[in-house]
Amino acid sequence: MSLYETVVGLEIHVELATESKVFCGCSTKFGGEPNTKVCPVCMGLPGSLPRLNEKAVEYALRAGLALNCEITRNAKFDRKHYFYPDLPKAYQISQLYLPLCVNGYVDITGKRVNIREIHMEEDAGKLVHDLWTDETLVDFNRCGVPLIEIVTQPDMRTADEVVETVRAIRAALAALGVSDVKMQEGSMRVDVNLSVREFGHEFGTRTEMKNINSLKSIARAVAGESKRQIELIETGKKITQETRRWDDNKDTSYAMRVKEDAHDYRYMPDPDLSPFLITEEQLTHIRRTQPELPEAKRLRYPKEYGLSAYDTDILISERTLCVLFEGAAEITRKPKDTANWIIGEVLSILKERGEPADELSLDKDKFARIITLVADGAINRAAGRRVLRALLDSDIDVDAYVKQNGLEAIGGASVVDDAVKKVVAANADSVAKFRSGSEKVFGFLMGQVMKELKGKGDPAALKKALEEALL
Amino acid sequence: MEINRELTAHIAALSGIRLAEAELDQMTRDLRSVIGYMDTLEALDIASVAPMSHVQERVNYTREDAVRPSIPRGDVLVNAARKTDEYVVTPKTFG
Repeated sequence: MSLYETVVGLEIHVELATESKVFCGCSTKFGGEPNTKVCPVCMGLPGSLPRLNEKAVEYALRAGLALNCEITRNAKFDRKHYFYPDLPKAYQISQLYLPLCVNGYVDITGKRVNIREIHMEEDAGKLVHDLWTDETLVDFNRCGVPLIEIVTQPDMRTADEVVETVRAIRAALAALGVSDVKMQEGSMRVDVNLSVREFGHEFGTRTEMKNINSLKSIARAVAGESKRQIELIETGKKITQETRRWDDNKDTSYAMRVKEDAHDYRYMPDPDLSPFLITEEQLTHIRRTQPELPEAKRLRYPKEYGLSAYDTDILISERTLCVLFEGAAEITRKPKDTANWIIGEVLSILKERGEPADELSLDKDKFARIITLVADGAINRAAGRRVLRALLDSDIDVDAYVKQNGLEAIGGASVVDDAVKKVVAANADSVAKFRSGSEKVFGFLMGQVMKELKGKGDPAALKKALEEALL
Repeated sequence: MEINRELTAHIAALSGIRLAEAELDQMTRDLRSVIGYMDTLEALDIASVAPMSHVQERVNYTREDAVRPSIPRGDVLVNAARKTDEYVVTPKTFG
């Protein structure tokens, strides 16, 4: 067993899904022509004045309440100064002294991960490196997009715990609808603060890793950085407190810069923004209108739908799956079947195609129709799968597709009986083997009958007919 | 707080400002006088006064979440020392 323990805390930046920026009316839409969603306020031009977007505050409060935080009633904004090309004002509006939310937590398997604070701030622009000219191009579109930064305590000890914490936070924020939480597009960015120590010792020197853009790379980054730090300690070298950039292709991180101390940021209250007070009425309204969170679904699904804990956990890990499940189950009235179709079929098709589940958009009515057709024996399961694939590709009409492709199950007794007779006659050897006790040839005979029916037989009807013929 | 040349140089570096030797001395003197005045304020007994970050009394000066037109890109780039048709150009920097 290793002598060392890994200690991890997270800083998670989440872009809030408002239409306009946090202090001005520019659009927050992702992508688009560079430097076209910019105005004097987000460029920090002299004489411009920021004005707070009330929706951004509401979203931040929703996140704080969902993550069990205490809410600061008299919040304000501070300026964090640093000099960098992606920050035209040369300061970022953030919250140091009175963050909006404090002392929250999120529960993962067997432990509670504490959240020190959630504060509001504005995003910076984007730097694009031009390989031809070896220069950097600056796009200010992202400047001023509202962010919350969720800061956890250093409560995680393994890569699994880190991934589970990020998953839980992401699922909660997705359920609230306050963010897209897309790691690939950068609307959710996870920085990993990591140190190692011998068991029972004081915390070691920590590094901060940035540029981690998937759950998979979080796990790899935690493992990689632990290993690097342990090797330094064991060879008697010192760990530098620094910011490192994770390189997922090379499976390693490299130093970006030595971390600036907080006082180097020269924080001060922002004189351009008035303090804002959170009232009891506002909080009551938000509490009353909070969407159902994954934690509540975890209790409700087994009770209301009779799902297993395992199936429930899979469904509640993605908001899209919950929406599809609840919508389709209401129509099919077969919640277990519906859950099985999502977990067994939809997810495996997505996995095979390498498509993320958080982007799934499947029409609940059409999906429910497939489940019902299979449950009623109108099409068999293999045909159902084929229709599902087609539905994932394009917005087909399920019944028309079944008809056009001749997928209706052949359940008519005479057709099935004819096929069975034909197979029994043509496979006398196998039939004899079966009758003398070799049960495994039954599957072979079933296959032959199904082939005879061009794969469209209803397996239940077919099995019954074959069993009778072989008696 | 002790204001000396090293501190002034450090703050200048953080701010991306280049100061000549003579300016460094002048700036150090100026800062010392400003911060020195703060020390005068420190002498006051303010135990009974609540911390205040703003002088105006207005609070919750917010706006609705509505998109308003941005400015033309030409205007965004007009002050840049170096630019392309779409971007501001800076020396090599890593995001």
